[in-house]
Amino acid sequence: MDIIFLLIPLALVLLVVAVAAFFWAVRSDQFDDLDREASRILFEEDSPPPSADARPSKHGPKA
Amino acid sequence: MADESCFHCGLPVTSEGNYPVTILGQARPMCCPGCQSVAQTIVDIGMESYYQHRQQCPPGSSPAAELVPDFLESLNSWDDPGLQESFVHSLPQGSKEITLLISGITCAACVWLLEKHLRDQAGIAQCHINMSSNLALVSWDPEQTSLSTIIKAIAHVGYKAEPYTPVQQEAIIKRENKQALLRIGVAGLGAMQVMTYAVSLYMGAFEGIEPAHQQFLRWVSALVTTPVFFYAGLPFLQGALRSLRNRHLSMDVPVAIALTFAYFSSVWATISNGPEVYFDSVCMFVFFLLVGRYLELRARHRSQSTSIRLSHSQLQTARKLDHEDNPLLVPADKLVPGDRVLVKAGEIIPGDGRILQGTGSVNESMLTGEQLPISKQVGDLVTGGTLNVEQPITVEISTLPGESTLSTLKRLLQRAEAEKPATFVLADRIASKFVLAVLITSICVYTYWWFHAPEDAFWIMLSVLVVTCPCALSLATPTAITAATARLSQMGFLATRAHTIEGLRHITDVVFDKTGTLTLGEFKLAETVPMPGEHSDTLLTLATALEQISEHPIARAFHGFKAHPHVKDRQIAANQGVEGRLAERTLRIGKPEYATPAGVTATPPAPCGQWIVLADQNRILGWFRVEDQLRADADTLVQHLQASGKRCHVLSGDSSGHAEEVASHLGVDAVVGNATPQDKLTYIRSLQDNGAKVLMLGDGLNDAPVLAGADVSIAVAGASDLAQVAADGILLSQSLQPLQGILQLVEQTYRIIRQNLAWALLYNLIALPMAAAGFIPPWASALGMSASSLLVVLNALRLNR
Repeated sequence: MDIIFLLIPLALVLLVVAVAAFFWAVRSDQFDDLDREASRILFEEDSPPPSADARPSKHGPKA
Repeated sequence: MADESCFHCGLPVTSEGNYPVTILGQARPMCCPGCQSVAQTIVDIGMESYYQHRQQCPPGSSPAAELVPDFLESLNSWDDPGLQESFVHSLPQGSKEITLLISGITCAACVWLLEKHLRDQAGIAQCHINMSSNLALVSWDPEQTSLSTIIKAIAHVGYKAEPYTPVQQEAIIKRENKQALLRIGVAGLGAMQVMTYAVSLYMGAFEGIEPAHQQFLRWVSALVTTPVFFYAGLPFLQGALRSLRNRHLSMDVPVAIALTFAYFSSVWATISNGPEVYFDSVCMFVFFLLVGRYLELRARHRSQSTSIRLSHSQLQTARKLDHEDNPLLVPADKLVPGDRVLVKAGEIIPGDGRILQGTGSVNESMLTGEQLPISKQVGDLVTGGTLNVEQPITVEISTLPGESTLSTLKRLLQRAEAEKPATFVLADRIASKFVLAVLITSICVYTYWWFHAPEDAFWIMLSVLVVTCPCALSLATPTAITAATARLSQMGFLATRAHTIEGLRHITDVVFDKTGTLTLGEFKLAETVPMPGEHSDTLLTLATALEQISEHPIARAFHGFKAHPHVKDRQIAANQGVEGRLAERTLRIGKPEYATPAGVTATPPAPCGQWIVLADQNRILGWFRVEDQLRADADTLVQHLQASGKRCHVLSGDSSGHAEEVASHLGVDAVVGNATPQDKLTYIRSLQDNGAKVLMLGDGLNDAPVLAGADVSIAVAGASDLAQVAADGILLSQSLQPLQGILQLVEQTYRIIRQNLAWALLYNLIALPMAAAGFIPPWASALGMSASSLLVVLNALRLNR
């Protein structure tokens, strides 16, 4: 069982990565609108997606 | 056809008009041309599936009102660069960006419809709508489109958009929200990790574990728990310190004590190789409590942001005159003394000042509660925020926006708010006794074991503290309040303060403002008395023909009736009445002293009430009585309140005696007419001095200080901005009816809170002696704690049914 001396520190590194990812997500406003994201999948998108340079978006791809 | 409802907005379709639109392969009835035009636009842009996905109809009547040419015309002023300065940002690539507040969004389908519709417009670079806040961030290319085009495009699919500048409170809310989420994330991820180590340690305790492994697992747990305790648990530690400094034992105190003891003793046990560590309990405890508090915070923030947005959405503009008397639109808060502004009929006067040109009448009901306009001549002072009723006037601004009457009122409001009586929170009262009991018990337990088995004393005392960890107790109130807040907003009531629900429970007296709260604030024709030889229907058509051209509140009582077609040369006499000609006769309608021909004495048919005269040049033709109508449900509400043992009072700034009439009609317990805001506040203070807990309902600017001074206050729908900010809650619907349901729900909430507290106390009463006797191992106490917390949460959720 001495392998835990290696595995647990490894898991801790992953934990730090997870916490960092979560901090980044919260700070970049991804948890701002929880109501809408829940139902977004229900709506079909039938218009052609906008070209990337014409519609720069700081909120990530929303089209 | 009356049983059909409009496919777009859900209002009933009347037999007079049916405006069909083919949607999803079928002809659907519409209630009005407005809905028809909106629905047709939606079909034309290929978004019929909006109707399949939406969960709720948009609020009725808005689209029709917004599509009138006047409204669309007024939007053009948004393109004025001077006006845009304060809310439009220029982006580096030459495009512009604005935050719009959109009203009418009810579900995700609305957001989808709006975003797609806007993206299909030429020149719109980007558009993102936040459904929680109803704010849209739109950027566009000024070469290809304009702001007014964008707002019109939004109006065409049935929503209303206004430029919006976020206020500071919102930034605070946003920061708090993020902070809370980060703490939950740290606590949650930490708790998951520490639980896996804890399970290994428990298994080890049963089946044997190598000391080196045990020691390693403990050190790792300590490492992970440290940020959870110091970062995620910080609000509890700070809260406890604060409450100790105020010499008041709050729920944070036992939480912080349990956390601190559990954490530091575990660290000590890790260093000194002691018998037990409680790192898992620390993490779980912090996580559960944070989640409970976050849900409460979110429900409260949601109501708060809605009310902030309601009250700050209107951007006030003014028509400033330059040297050549050309009007120029500027934001009202940019006016300086000496500026001349043009105020058209029906517009709000943008600041305090003196009339330079024009005579008119000004409705000062926002200030005084008096519903009827007051005549103003050249040289008279006018107050910012009041309404110019009839004719255009030019005003010279005399004070800076920060020193205006309006700002003074705001300061009065802040003072009243600071003096607001504190509302005690039930759970906090129980908690402080409970905390004291737990602390005393732990000391006793420690002393007892010190004499009998000194080596176990510290550990047993600790397990007493952990097992009685007041998780269920501290969740009991917030969960119930959260569920109730959510339920209340479904019922059309926004509770905007933390103590609103608690405060509503103790109410003994309900004080209503009259105008705009108990009554609708609009005059209706109540009675027509023709003079001998006249016919009341003919008189009404004549009166309507005359009054049609006036926007005076009394004149509006006649709008909507059939008008006599041959009345000519109509002229408004400011705040007096209207004159016109019918063939050879000169007709006048209005105040008796204005309309009555010289030499004729005018005696109203009845002594009380508001009477106006219709006369020709020779004699009086008839009398009309107008009155401010009661809200339809005011009667039942007062009866209901009195039946449940609450005293009802009516306060009014109105001097006409109507307040007394309304009061005697409703059968309320007390009435005060002709009251200034200061009088109203004094009245409430005197009630409070006699031990009453006062609920105040109001709407006007003049009510704001009173709303802030009452124990609990509610602003009714359509209330002035300041009243909404001052109130603890806002009724969203046009009716007073929800108030009954609200008070019932509050009662039910407190039943649930009591059940929750009873359960939490029972659990502790059983667990505590067992822990004190040394029977409960830590894993069992963690399990018991979680189960009892879960039960409390589930019980609270019953309120949402």
